[in-house]
Amino acid sequence: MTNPTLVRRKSPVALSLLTTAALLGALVVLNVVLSRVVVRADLTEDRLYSLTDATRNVVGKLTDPCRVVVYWGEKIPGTAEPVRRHLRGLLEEYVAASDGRIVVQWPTMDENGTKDADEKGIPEAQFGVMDANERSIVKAHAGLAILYEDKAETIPNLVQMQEDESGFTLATDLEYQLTSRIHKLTRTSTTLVGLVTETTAPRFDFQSPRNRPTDNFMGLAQLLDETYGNGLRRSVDLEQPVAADLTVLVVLAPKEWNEKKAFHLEQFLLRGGKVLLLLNPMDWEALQGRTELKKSGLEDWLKSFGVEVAPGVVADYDPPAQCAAVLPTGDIRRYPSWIRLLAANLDGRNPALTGLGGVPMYFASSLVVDAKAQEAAGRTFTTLATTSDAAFVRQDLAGLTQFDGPEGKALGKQTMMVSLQGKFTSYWKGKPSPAEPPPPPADAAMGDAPPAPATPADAPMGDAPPAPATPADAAMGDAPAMTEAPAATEAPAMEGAPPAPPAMETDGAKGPEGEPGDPAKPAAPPARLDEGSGMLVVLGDADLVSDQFAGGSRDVTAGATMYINKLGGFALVPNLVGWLSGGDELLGLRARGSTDRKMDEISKEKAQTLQHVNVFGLPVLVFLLGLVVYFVRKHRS
Amino acid sequence: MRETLAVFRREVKSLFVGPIPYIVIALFGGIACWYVIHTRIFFMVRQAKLDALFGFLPQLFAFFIPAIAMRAWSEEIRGETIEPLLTSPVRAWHAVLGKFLAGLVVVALCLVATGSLAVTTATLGDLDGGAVTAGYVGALLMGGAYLSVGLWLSSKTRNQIVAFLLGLVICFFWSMIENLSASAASGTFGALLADLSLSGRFRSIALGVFDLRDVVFFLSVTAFFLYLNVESIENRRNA
Repeated sequence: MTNPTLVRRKSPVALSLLTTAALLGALVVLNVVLSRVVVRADLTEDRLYSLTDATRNVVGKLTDPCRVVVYWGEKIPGTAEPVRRHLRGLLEEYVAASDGRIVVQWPTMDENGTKDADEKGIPEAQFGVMDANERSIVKAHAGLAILYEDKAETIPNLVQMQEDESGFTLATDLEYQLTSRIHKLTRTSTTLVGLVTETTAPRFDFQSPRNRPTDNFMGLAQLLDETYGNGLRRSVDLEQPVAADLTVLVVLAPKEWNEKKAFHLEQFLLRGGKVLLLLNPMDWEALQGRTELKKSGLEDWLKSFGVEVAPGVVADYDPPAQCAAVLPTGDIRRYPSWIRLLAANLDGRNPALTGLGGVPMYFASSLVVDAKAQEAAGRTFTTLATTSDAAFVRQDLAGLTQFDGPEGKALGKQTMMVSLQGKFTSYWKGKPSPAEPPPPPADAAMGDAPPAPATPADAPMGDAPPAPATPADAAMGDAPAMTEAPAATEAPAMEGAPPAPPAMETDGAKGPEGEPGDPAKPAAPPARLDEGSGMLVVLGDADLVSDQFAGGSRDVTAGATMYINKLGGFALVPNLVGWLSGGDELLGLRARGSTDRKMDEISKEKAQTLQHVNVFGLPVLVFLLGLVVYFVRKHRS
Repeated sequence: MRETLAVFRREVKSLFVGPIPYIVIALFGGIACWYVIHTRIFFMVRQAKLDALFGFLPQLFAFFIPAIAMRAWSEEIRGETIEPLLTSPVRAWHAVLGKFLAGLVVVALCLVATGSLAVTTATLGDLDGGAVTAGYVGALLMGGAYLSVGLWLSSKTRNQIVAFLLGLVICFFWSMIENLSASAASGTFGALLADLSLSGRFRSIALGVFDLRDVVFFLSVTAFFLYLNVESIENRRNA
């Protein structure tokens, strides 16, 4: 028989347990339901965790469904859970911005899921895990694939270690990676960008005997490939005329160019082309003594446009405008020959430069622009970037690796990047074209005709029939001035020559892999111009986008370690290319996260004072307040 | 509400006439600043961020908040001052909420004691005000969750030290659950552990992003333990 007193005593406890369980259940349900709802407020000043307008613009234009498949391995440590949550939130924003055209899938990572990830080319990432006694590594997929029509792009690794190695975080440039890949898959514009680099022959390798020549700008090429895809021509050969369909030509660290290459570059410019010229008079290899310092070969050509490269290396003595080095002692020193172009010294009106933080330049040279020459020529000249007011051009390269100060130096602002836009007059005006063959010897003129060129690309420029205006010409405001080529070569060809299609340079007809064009369809080279309108942007450094400065650290001198910030240069140059091409929807996205949040450098004494104020100041005040309260109370009582 | 405020005022008054909050606030601020400046070579790294501070707060809270909460009920039970409270017209949840808010004031003052670090950073560099604000508000949410655990434990025992030690163990375990999920669990179980982690949720907010899910999680934990606290007081009243 049940004791009624016991029931009365028990029932409040049972009721309490029941209500507690009900509350717990309700809270769990609430949290589970809300786990599918993304409501976020991004309080960071740069809206680092929200989509940029550039992304909204790109995904807002999607017309067909785009699938994003996230491969999130089962073995990924739980510490990466906040990363998964952020990723989910970010992708939800993509879905909303695309008006539902982006569909996100998270397949179960069983055998099929793993196989699918492998087939998409997503490798397993490694995650360091601290066990009780030791550190171990687990492998799991943490990537995604973007599928659009029958095309696919992947981001192999979404997770990275935090700076202080305290946990995991989303890849800092994930939005750029995602948006640029979606943009690449869906782009319809025909902007063509060409890269001109100096290549070096590969070392012979028995395993890969067909290695192609390499250059020092593979990282930049990959970055541009993400935006322009098959609109990028990786190795344009300026021994041949530039293809007329190219919009922008990026010339990286030219060395010892002959006149023919300069001429072809100039002709591209005069035809309305946009040239981004990154000179590199002081390159790292040469300053390390591994190669000789070489001139670009473009010095006289540039001088004819009123632009000169000042000899020497720019050093900046304004601390925020210097890169930092960690000495073997652990002290941090500023290295003046690795300068940083501060946001305040970039042309803020230029969309390619807005939002950029410090852009590092390594052993850069400054530019001297003759403003009067620009005005006289009818060109607009804009200084896009300068150093701080405390810069100096060091002529003595022997002391380059010194951490010296500004004492005894004439400091001033140096111009590091300029743009020239408007009329350009050919450096070779009134002179024979360097692309023409040398005049035939006297005996040949007597009747022995020179052998016919093997291909049209080998043909001298002057022998070519005049080509009709190219699309680039048509786009130009000013009518191009046709050259008066030497009569001896011009006259026979001009007579009744049929209009030829716009010339395609041999290399320009190559695909990204560099296959030769179809020799059966030779194209006539474009007509030579003596005047034309174009745009030329010149920088005094190319190292800022070289593979050697794409991150990591370098020892400059005496064991001092310099840490390289990739963000600046690798955001700047693609932005400039986008600006020159006139249709880069990713402008502003690349600079994301590059805002430099460095504290001012302070002396050791000041640092110590601040340490004491922080550690002891406020706590001691609070403690004293407690004592005052205690004594007042004691006194009153 | 009036009753809650009355309890709150009484609690704040009784708290701040004693030495404990002053010592706790001074130690909290001093240790936090010392950790960030010395251990994380703050002035050498020169990053105008408070990530190191926010990364340390879960562990610091796990130690200090049980100390703040330990006497809230234990003292009343031991000194038998709880009887008048229980027999007064004040309902249990008014008393619990009043004590909770008073404790939260101390937690907030502890965070204010680290404010000198924010001021120093903002003076020397371009501190992201939005991210720091999110970090501090997130810290207050996390502190509230810890505090509710501490208050509940305090209501379960008349011994402050026992309440403190139990609170320390539970809060510390809860702050380390994220690490446990990294080493001992993966997949769904690991994700579940990570979802339950207070420090993981806080880390997410401290980046500068207020996610409704994180906020609701903290509020849920706080509400649940405050409810347990109310139940504990009600049971004591009914006993």
